[in-house]
Amino acid sequence: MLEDILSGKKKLFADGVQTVLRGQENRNRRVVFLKGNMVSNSRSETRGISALVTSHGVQGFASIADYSSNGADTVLKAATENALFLNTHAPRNKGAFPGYGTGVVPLNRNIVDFEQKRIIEACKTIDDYVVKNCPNIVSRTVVYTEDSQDKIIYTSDAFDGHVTNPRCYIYVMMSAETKDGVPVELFKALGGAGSFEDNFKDVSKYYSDIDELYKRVMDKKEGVYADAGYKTVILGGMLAGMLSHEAVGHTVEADLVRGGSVAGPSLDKRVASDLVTLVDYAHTAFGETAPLPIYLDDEGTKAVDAVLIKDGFLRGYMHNRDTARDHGVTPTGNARGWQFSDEPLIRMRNTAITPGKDKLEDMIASVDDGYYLLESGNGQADLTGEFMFGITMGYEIKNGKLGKALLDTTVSGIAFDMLKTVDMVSDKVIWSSSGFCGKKQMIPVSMGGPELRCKIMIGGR
Amino acid sequence: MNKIIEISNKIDSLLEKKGVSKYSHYVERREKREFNLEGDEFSLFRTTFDYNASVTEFLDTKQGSASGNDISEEGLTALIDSAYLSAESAEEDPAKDIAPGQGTAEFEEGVLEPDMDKLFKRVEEFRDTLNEKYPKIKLFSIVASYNRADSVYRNANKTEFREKSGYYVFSATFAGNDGTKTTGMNSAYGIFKDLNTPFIEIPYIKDEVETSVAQLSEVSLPDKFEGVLVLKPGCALDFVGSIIGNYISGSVILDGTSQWKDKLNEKVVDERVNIVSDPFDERLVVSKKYTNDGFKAEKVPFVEKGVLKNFLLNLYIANKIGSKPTMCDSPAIVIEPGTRSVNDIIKSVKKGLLVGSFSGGQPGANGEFSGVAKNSFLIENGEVKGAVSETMISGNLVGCLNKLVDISKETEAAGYAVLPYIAVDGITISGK
Repeated sequence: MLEDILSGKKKLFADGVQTVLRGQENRNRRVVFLKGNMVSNSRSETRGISALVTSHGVQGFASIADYSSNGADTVLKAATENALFLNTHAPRNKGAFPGYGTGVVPLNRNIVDFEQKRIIEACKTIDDYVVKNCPNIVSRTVVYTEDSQDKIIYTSDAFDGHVTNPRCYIYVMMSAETKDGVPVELFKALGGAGSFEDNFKDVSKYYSDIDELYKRVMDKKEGVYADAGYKTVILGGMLAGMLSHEAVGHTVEADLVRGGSVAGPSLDKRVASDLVTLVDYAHTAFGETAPLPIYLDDEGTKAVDAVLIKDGFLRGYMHNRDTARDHGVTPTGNARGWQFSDEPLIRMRNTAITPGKDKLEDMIASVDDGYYLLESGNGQADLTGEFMFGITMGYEIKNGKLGKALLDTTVSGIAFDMLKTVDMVSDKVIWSSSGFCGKKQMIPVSMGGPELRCKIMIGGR
Repeated sequence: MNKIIEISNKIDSLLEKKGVSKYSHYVERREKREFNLEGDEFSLFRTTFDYNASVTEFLDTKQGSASGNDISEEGLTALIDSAYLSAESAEEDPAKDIAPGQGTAEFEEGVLEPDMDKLFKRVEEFRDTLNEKYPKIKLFSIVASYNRADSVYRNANKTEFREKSGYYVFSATFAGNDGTKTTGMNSAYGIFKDLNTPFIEIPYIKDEVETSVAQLSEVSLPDKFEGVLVLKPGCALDFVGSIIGNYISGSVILDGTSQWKDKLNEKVVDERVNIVSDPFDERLVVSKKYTNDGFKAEKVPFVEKGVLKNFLLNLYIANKIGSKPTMCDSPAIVIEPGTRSVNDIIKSVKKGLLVGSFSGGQPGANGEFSGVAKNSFLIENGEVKGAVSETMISGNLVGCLNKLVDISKETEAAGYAVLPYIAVDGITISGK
C-alpha cells in the first residue's frame, strides 16, 4: 500500500487557486498461456505524484515519477506555473468552483499482493481443466490480468482520502473450427474486484463457467450468419450494459454534452420507452456493493449516483466540478485519472439499466423471427448516439424458440431511437466489470443490465 | 541520456550481484508537454515526467519480467527481485531466449528541442481558422503535445541500443453542425517532426474537416446491395492492421488459427498488393528501430506482389515453431501506391461507398468483418454523392483484397504509417 508522504503538503498550496495533490500507485500482474505455452510472465508497478491547479477556469497539471517530498514540491510548483501560463495566454475568466464540504473519506479496502507462482499455478489449473474437459477445441488461451490503483488525495477545498481499486481476472479463450475449417472463438472473463485471493483461492468454482463457454463454442462452430437488416432482438445483460455505457453513457458525460452530444438538447425529454431507467452507480447498486465501487474521485468529490434516464426521460449527466458549476448542479464524483500522470476526466463507474418485471423465457417466447444476442467483443459509439457492438455470441429465435447459434456479427443503431423500441425488460441484472473504457486515457469500468427486447440493425450476409 | 546510461549501468551491476547471467533490460525517460482545448477554449496545460525501467531475467530456460518507474537503488533492486521471482516461478521452456549480440547502435529521430510557443500559436491558428472559414464545424476538443524520450536497451549478449526521439502530436475532434443538425464525430490526427505547416493546411487534416461539413448533406441508402468500398488511407490502415493480426502475427501462427499458416511464399491476395514494414522510411516520424528481443529492425515485406513473404514472429515463437524471427515487432506499415488517382478510381465505381472510418467488431479468425461505415459517402455512377448514416458494411478481409479494384497513386503519411486509398469490391452494404 502507498505510504502517505503528502499529508504535510497542504501548506504549500498556492493562495487564490484550487489545488488537488494526488499520490498514486498502479500495479499490474500478467500471465498468459497460449495453447499451454507461457508467453507472458510479468509484473509492474508505477507510482508518482500529480498536482492539479485550477485558476479562473483554466487548469495546470504536472506529474513526476518521484514519489517523495521533493516530488510533491516540484509538481505543485509546475502545475501552478502551468495554470498561470494559460491564465496569461488564454484566460477564461471563470469563477472558482463552489464548495461541497470538506472531510476525509476512509480507506475502502487494502490491496494484497500475491506471489507470481500462485498466479501461474491458478492459470495452469484452469488450462489443465480446459485440456481435459474441452476436447473439441483447436486452440486455447488463459490470461491472468490484475490491475489496481492506490490513491492518496489531498485537496484545498474538498474531501481528502486514501482509496483503492483492485481487480483481477482470468480470461479463458477457446477456438474451434466449423466443418469448413473456419475458426470461431469465444472468451469468458472470470473474477472481479479485489485481490487474487478474493477471486481465485479456489478456481474450481469457475469450472461451470468454463463448461458453459465450451458449450457455446461448440454451438458456435455449427453457427450460421445472421440475416442483415432491422430485426427484433433480445439483448442479453452484457449487451444491455454495453448499450448503457457506450451508446448512452458517453453522450451524457457532461464534458461531451458541452462538446455537442445529442444529449445536450434532450434533457428532460423522452429518449427511451417508459421501461428504461439508467443510472451510473458510484459504489452501491441494488442494495449491494457495485462491481467496481468508487467512493472519492480525483478532484476530492465524494462519489454519488448519477441518475441519467428515469422512466424513459433524460434527467441528468455525469459531472466533474467544472461542468457541475456550469450546469448549476452538485458534482457526482465522476472525475477520474488512470495513471498518476493522467489528469482526471469525467468517466463512468458502474453504469446499468435497472431491471424490469419480465421473465427471459417469456421474452424469448414472444419473438417470432429474431435473435437473442448474448456476448460482445467490443463496442463504439459517437456523440450522436450512433453505436456499434461486435456480437460474438447469439442465437436465432424462430417461432418463440432458440435456434442455431450465430457466427460473429455486428449490431448498430442510434441510442435514443433504439431505446424507444424497448418493450420488455427482464428481472435480472448481469454485470460485466473486466473492461476498460478509452477516452484519452484508459479507465476500468463496469456495466450491466437486464435482458431487453428491442429493434436493432444487425449485420450479416 | 547520461542519467539513463547511469541507471542502465546500475541495473547491470545489480543483476551481476544477483548472479543473473542472461537478461535484457530497457530504461526510458519520457517527458510530455500538452495543451488541451475543450470546445474552442484552452482548458489545461499539462506537463509529465516519467521513467520506465523493465527487466527480463532468464534462469536457465525459465523467464520472468518486471517493470516500474522507481529508479532509486531500492526501486531497481525490488524490480530485479520481482523479475527473478517471476522467472523462478515460470516453467522450463528452451524456446525462451534473447537475440545474439548485435553490437551497439544509436538512433535519433524527430525534433529534440520543442518550440512550445509555436505549438501554442499553431493550435490557436487552427481553432481560429475553423471559426472563420468553417462556421459549420463545431470543435469538440484539441490535444496538442510535444513528446520527448531517451532510452537505452541492453542485453547480456553485449547489445546496446540508444535512442533519442522527440515529436509533436496533434489531435482534433469535431463535428459538422449547421445549427439544426449535427453529424457524427470526426477526428484528425498526426505526428510531426516540425511545425512548419499550419495544421489546417495539412491535406489529410483539411480533408477530415471538409468531410464533416459535407456530411451535413445526407442521402438515403437503398436497403441492401453489393458494391465497392473506397477506403481512405486511415481506414485502410485499420484493415491492414486486422490482416496482420488475423493472418500474420505470431500469436495466430503459434495457436494455429491463422488461415495463412501454411501459405508462406504462396499468392494470398491480388498481385498489386504490397504490405511492408519499413521503420527507416523517411516519411515516418516515429518507428521502432529494434525489437524487444534485441534485433536491429529491418525493412520486412509481409506481402509482396500478393505473395505472403513473412510472418511477424518474435524470437520465442520462431524458436517454438522452428522458424526464424522477423526483424520487426511493431510494424511500420508502408503500402506502395498504385498508378491511378483516387478520383479516377472513384469514376470507375458504379455503386459503393467512400469510407472514412470503420466502427466494427474485431474481425473473426476467418476474416469476416461487419460494422458501421462512419464518415462515409455514397458513390453512384462514378460520382461521390451525399453522406450516408446508419450504414453497415460486411465482407471478408482476404476476400476483398482478392477483389481489389485499385490502389491510388496518392498516399497519406500521418507520421506513423504511409498508405494510399484502397478500393475493394464484393462488400455487402446495407442501409436501415
